[in-house]
Amino acid sequence: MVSPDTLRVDYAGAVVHALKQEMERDTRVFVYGEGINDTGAYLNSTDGIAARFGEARCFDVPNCEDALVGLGIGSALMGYRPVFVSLRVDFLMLAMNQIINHAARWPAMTGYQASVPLTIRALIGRGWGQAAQHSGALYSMFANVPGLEVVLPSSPLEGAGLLLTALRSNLTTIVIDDRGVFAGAEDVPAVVEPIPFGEARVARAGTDVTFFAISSMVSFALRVADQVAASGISAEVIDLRTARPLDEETIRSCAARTGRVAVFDIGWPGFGLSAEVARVISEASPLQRRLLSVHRKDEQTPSSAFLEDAHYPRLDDVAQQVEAHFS
Amino acid sequence: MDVTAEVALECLERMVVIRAVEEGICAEYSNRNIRGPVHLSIGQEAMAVGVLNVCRPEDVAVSTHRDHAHYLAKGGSVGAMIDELYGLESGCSRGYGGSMHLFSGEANFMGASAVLPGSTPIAVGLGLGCKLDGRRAVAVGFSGDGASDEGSFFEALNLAAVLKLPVLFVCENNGLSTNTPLAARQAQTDISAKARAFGLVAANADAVDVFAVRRAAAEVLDHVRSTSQPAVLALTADRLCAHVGPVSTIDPIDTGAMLAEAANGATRDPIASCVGAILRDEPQLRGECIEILEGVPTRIAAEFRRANAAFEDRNAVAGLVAPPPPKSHTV
Repeated sequence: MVSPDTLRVDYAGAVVHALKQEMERDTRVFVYGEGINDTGAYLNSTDGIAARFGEARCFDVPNCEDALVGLGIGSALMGYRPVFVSLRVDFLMLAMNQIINHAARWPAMTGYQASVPLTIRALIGRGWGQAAQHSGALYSMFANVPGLEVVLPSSPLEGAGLLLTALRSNLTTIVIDDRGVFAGAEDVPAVVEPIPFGEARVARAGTDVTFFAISSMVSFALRVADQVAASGISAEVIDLRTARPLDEETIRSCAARTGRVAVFDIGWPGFGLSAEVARVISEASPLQRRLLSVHRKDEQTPSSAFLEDAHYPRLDDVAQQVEAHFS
Repeated sequence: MDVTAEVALECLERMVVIRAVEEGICAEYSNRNIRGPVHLSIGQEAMAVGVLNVCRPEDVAVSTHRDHAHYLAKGGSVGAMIDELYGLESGCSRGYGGSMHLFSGEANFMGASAVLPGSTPIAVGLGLGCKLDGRRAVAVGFSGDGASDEGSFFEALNLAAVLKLPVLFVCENNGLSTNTPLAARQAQTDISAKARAFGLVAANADAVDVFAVRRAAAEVLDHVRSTSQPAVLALTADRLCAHVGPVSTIDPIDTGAMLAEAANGATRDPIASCVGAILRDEPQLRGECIEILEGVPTRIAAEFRRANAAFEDRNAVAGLVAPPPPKSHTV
C-alpha cells in the first residue's frame, strides 16, 4: 500500500530522494564523481540530480581520487557541503593521504576551529564476479581513525535517513553502499528524517542470542534468525548502523541480556567488527572484566606538551586502571 | 623598485618579522619550552611576503610544514603564533597544531599540511569555494619543490585547470627535499614547464628579490582573478637553515652587518637584498630601514619572554619534566 506520505523506492531511489531533499534545503550541498551523469551511474543512485539542480551542483570529474578528496576538503573548509561519490571503496585507497591525513585531522590540527563537512559515498561491488579489486569492504580502515564517521546503511529507509545525517554533519563522513542492499524496495517517508549516528536499531526481537550486523549483513542475519528459529533459537538482530561512532551502550546491554553474541561483518575477520564488539563487551561486563585495552586517546594527536602528555598512556594511570579493572 | 616607499617598507617589515620570530625560536629552543619540530623559512621570506603582499584579505591560503612565513605574511597574529609554539591554549591553533599546523580564520589562513603534497589538492578545493562564493577571491596554495615529486601534485594542477578554478599554486623551490637535491629527484627540473604541459599559465622568479616576486605574483594573480583559471608561480631561493630544527646558517639580524650585506649585489639573503634595493632607489628611507631592523626584533623578543613566562606558569601546575633534547633534528 502506497500512501501519499511515503514512496516505494529501492536503495538507489532512497539515496536520490534524500539527496534531492537536502540539496533543495541547503544550497551549499553539491555532488561530484567520475562519470556521475552517465545513465545508470552508481547503480542509479545519482539519477536525476543534474537534471534537477544543474551540472554546477552535480558534476563529472577526472580520475584523480586524492585530488578529488582535496577538492572536497578545501570547499568544505570554505563552508560548502560537498559529496564525493566513488564507484568502489577500493578506489578510495588512492585518496588515503587526503582522507586520513587531512580530512580526518584538519579539525584537530586547527584546535577544532575549522571543520570539514565532507561526505564520501563509496560502493562495494558485492557479488556478480567482481573479484578482489572491486569487492573490498575496507570500512574498518576508516573506522579506526578518529575524526571520521563511518556509516553502513542496511536498507532504503536506513540509507535515506543516514545519508541525511551525513550531509548535515560537520565531520567527514564515509557512507558505504554495499551492492547487497540495492535489491529490495521499501516505503520511505516523503519527507525523510535524519537518523542519528551511534544509535543502533533493533531489526528483530529475540531472547537467546544477539546478532550484531551492519550493512548488507543485516538482512542476512535476519534470514539466519528465521532459519534457526525452527530449531528453537530466538535470535535478536541489531543493526549497528554506524561503525564510528559505535553504539557501545547497546552492544553492552544486549550482550548482558542474552549472554550470547554473533557478529555479522561485511569484511575480513582480522581487526574487524567482531574484535571491536568483543572488546566493548569484555571491557565492560562486570562478570567478565578479562580485557583491558591500553591505548592512546581516541582522538588525533595534539601538539602541545600539556595536551600530548594526556594523549599517550601514562604509567601511573595504567597501573591504577589495571588494579581497578582486575581486582 | 617598482613599488611605493610605503609598500617597500611594508615588505621589509614583514620579512623582518618572519626572520625575527624564527631567530627567536633558535634562541629559545635549547630551553626546551618549545617542544616540537620547527621547519624554518630563513632565506625564503621573500616568497611568502612577495606573493601575499599583492593578495587581498579575502583571498585564502593553505600551506605546508614550513608555514611560519605564510601565516605571518597572510596577517596571522605574531603573539598567537608564538603561543602556539609554546603549546598554550591562547595559541593560534589552541595548542593542537604546533609549528606545522598554524591557523588563522580571521586572516583566511586555512591551515597547513605536514604530509606533502597535501596542501596542493586542498588549494583546489579552496579555489572551488572561492568560485562558488562569486566574490572574485583567489586561493593560494603554497608547496615546496618536494611536493612536486608526488603524483597528486599534478592531479591537483590538472583538476584545477579542467574545472577552471581560481587557484595560484606557489611552488617554493629551495632545491632540497629534506637534503636530497632536486636534480637527484626529477629528470625534468623545470616545474613551470610541467605546469604548462598541464595547460596552466606559469611564471618564474628568483625569490632573493621580494619586489621581483611581488611583480611576478601580481601578474599571475591578475590572470587567475580575471579568468578564473589556475596558474603556477615557481620561485627559487636558498634555504639558509636546516630542513628541521633551530639551525640557521646565517647570523641573527645585526643592523650594521645587514647594511653592509645590503651593498653586496650577490647576496642570497632576501632581507639584505630588500634593504639594498630600497637604499639604492630611495636613500632617504635609511632611517626607516634601521628602525625596522632594530625595532622589530626587540618587540618580538618581548613576545617570546611573555609566552615563555606563560608556559612556565602553566607548567608550574602541570609539572611536566623537560624531555631530553632530540639527538638529531633531521627527523
